[in-house]
Amino acid sequence: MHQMNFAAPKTVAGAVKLLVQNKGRSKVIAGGTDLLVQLRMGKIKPGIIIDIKNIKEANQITIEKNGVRIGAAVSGAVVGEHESIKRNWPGVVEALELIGSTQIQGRASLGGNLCNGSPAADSVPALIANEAICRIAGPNGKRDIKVQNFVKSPSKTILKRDEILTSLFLPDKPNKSSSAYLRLIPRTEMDIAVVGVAASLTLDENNKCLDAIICLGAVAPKATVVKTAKKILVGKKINNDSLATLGMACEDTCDPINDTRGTIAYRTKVAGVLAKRAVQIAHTRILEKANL
Amino acid sequence: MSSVRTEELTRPNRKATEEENKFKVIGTRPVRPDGIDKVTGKANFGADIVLNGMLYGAIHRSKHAHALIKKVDVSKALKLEGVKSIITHSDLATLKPTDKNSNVNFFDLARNVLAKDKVLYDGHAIAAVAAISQTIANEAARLIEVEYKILKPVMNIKTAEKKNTPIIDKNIFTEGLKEPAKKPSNIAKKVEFLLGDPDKTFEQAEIVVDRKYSTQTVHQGYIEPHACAASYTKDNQATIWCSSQGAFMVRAYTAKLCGLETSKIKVIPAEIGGGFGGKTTIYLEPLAVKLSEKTGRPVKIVMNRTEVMRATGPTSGGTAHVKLGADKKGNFIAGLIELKYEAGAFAGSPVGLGCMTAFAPYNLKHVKCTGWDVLVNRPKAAAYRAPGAPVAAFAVESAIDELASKLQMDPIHLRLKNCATEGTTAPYGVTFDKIGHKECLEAALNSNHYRKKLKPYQGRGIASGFWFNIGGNSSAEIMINEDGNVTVATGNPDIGGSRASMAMMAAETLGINMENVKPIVADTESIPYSDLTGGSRVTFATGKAVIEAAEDMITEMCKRAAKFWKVDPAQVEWKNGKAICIERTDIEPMSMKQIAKIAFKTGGAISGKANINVKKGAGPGFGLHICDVEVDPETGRVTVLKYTAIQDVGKAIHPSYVEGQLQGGAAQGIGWALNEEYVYSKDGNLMNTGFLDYRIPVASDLPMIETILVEVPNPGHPFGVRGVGETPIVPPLGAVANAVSNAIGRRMTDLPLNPIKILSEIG
Amino acid sequence: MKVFIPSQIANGYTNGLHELNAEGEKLDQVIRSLDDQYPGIKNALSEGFACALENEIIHDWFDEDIKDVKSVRFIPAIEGG
Repeated sequence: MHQMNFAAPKTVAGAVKLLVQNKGRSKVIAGGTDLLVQLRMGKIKPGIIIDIKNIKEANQITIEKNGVRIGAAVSGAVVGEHESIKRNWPGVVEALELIGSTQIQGRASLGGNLCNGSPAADSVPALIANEAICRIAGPNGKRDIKVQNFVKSPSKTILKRDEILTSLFLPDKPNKSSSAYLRLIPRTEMDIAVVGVAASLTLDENNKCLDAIICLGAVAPKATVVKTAKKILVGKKINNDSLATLGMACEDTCDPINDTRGTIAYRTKVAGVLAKRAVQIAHTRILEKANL
Repeated sequence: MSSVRTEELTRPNRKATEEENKFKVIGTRPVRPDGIDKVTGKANFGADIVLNGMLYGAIHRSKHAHALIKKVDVSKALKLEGVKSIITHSDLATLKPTDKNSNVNFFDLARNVLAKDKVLYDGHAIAAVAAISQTIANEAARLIEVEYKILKPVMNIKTAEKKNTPIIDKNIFTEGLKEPAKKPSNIAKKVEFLLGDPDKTFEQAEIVVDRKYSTQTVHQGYIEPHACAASYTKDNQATIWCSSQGAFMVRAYTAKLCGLETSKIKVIPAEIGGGFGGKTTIYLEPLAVKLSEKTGRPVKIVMNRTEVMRATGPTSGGTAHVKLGADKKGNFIAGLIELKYEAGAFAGSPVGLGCMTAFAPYNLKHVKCTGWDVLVNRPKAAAYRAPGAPVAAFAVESAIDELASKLQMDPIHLRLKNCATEGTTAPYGVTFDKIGHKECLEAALNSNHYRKKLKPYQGRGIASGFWFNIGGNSSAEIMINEDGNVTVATGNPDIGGSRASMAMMAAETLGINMENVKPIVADTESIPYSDLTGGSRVTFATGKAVIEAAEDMITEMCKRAAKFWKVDPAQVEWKNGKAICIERTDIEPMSMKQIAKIAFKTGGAISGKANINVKKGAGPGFGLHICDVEVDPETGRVTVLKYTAIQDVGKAIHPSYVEGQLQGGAAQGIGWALNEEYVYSKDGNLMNTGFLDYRIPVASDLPMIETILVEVPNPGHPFGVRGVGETPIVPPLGAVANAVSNAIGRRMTDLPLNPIKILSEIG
Repeated sequence: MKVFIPSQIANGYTNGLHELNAEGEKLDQVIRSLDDQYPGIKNALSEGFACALENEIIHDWFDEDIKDVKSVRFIPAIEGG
């Protein structure tokens, strides 16, 4: 019979110690909105569940010199009420808030969404488009790594078995920047992205594109940056022509699968559509911010 | 609920206030008697039962869609500490294929609850375990080893019909053919309904629409998974606590499968968290009873959502081929429909009902409806609101919409021209009494919704729907308590607000307030037999029993008053909740409270009863739905913008709960039309076993479903009640499909209309 | 009096004939007269078939008065959800 222990350490060091002791038989829980479902369905049988909700670092939002640091276990509901995060990283907030229902929002976290390693995770493309950085703690101390490099393949991350994700850092953006996240689901809520697209956009004083990062979700084994997007948009106005080219580039970047949620053809086509719309939303947000 | 009020001014057929003033309680909107318990979490559902010494059950289910069972090895599971017993099909009573009655084939039912020799769908139960904890029971179920000989699964109608295709059940020979079938087949039955001479009449049609349609398997999607607890005692009696649509149904079916006399089982109905037809049969109860018999301890079994999706009754997916002929003025001349419905792994899809309902809303003199009942390796179909009707109506209402656009005629006017009215003979042979289809169509024309303008990529669809409604056996008992308040007991589980309507009808009949009436759902030993809650029959038939029981008690109360007053009983009348001595102004009328006080002096406790089979008078229900959608042309996603459900409800006892029925049916139908479907792998494994990927609508997917209650009183009921629960799921498939088709300018014939399908059509 | 029966019954008992003639003022008399002509049809119709009389569908049919009825039609029993 499967026996399982539970621990709720108060420090990162305590959590790491437990991870080391349990040699890969442990699972870290934040909100548990993915983990508990997997446990109940019998997909995982951990020897110990390590709860990080009592660890201060993982549960606070700190404004730092060059950006904001969000604890890995901070819930979507808390992030969604943080004025400066909402103002500066609207794409990240709207992606995180799309996860689950109001009840789930009280538990779901950026860290959990990332560590689950799903190609369809809503917040991950938004984090990548905003160049977010993971802080990882292990027996040898801390290390930082780009979110873009965190997920290796579905359900697989670069975390070693004795490491833990403690926080995510969002670097500050230039003034004329904004972001957006859109996903396609057949329903309006309580669903998993068939396609997700995050766009982060920065404009120059003439409202031409200064920088752009587009990241696609659910159309490849992991969230994927559209490499040609920068080249297509930088130096140009955001208009139908530039967006049409971007749409095609997004379609070319897609490497999706057929499954019960979507077909290859559908995902590819809609990735282009949502990318254009996401850039437009980010564009509008910048202009609205400038008019305030 | 404010939905009705907005349309109130334009509502036709709102007959005089005189009629409404006739009633004091009926037509008002009091809080439901079961409401507080439900919203505060106090109500006890099937899974909430806890008994002393109780064991927990778990089921080992097939991972194959079609396979012979060569061996079931339970040895490892039995060795697990805490496992008390394991049963398989052979532990059930031995039944023969002839063990059936008009409702159910017990031989099939027994093979469905525990597979015999062969598994017939992914998730088919093979063995059941009882253990001291749920964790141990689950682990034991996992440790059961089954050796299979895998057969090719038959997953859809096309494969089932093919020559040389695997045969799911070698004992099935197609019934209803001219020449008796000589070889076994996956086609269980052919049914046919014929009115006039459609083949010949088609020659006179000036316009013909001819098209094929298809739909997928869908589940009722009740929130509460099946659950039960059973206790078998040494005197060979069993008690079952469970949620179902009929405690007497559970008793009869379980008795048969366990080889017990019906009376040896007592079924105590738990609160029910939705059924929609899906709880008109049993899955767990015989297993719990047998495990309890073997272990001598109570056993509880609760399904999880995955088990519900894999192994409990969905309703049939199917195909429909419709041919509809009309003259240039839009008069329907002849109609043909051929329906093929998936029955699941056992015979018995609702295809006959599909045939009977298909053209029922219309006045057609020449009709042929042919139906085929087809076996596939999917779970056995169970009833789902108006079984069989929605798929047939989807096809016919789509054809009418197409005809309207060919004729350049308003689709409501076209329906008005052809709608069934009093005196119309339906294709299945009944001539309608007073019905309200025409009134629904007129209400739609007069509604604000129908006048609202649409924008590009928006479309409007309308569709009508019909359901028979039935009567049947109902029992009611009513008693005055010592304080003069009243208890009303019936044998019908409350799935749609029936406790409220029973209490209201009792109060109305007695002339008292609803607050003074407590309605209860009695167990099988506390009330005489009642048919299950289904067929939109309870407010009508059980309501009639309640009224008769109340009248019976009134007679007794008048007798007691007469005895007390020492007058002739003929001199006592019941008026406004009081016994009155006519022609004697010196005698003060006596209230129920006072009668309760004199009850013991005048002969003992007072009650009334009625045990009736309501054979006649269940007035059919007609409805019409209007649906506006917007299609995103770049993603194919459909948004339902506005939706109005209009229905002839006879007389709404509690209008809020009648509106709720209309809204619920519309919501389920919209889900069926847009996103719900069983997705199977090539090997026949169900891929979407939870609500994440089996997409019933969530609240934010729907606009406020507006309702218009048309009240054409049913002459067959004292208060004019018609059944209302099933008709509302009949129109939505057609209404949504017509709206989408009109939005994108292409006829959509294959449900569900998910974004992928729509984009591939327009992109 | 005309009696219409479903094809399943017709194929089994009446050699495919759907429209039958029978006499009687009560439904059970009609059924008895049919059973004389087509032995076994009474039992067959008693299992799972309702009876459509003018404007009503009767389940559990027995001795319904059919003096003024032009035709009797047997149809599958109506189940509900």
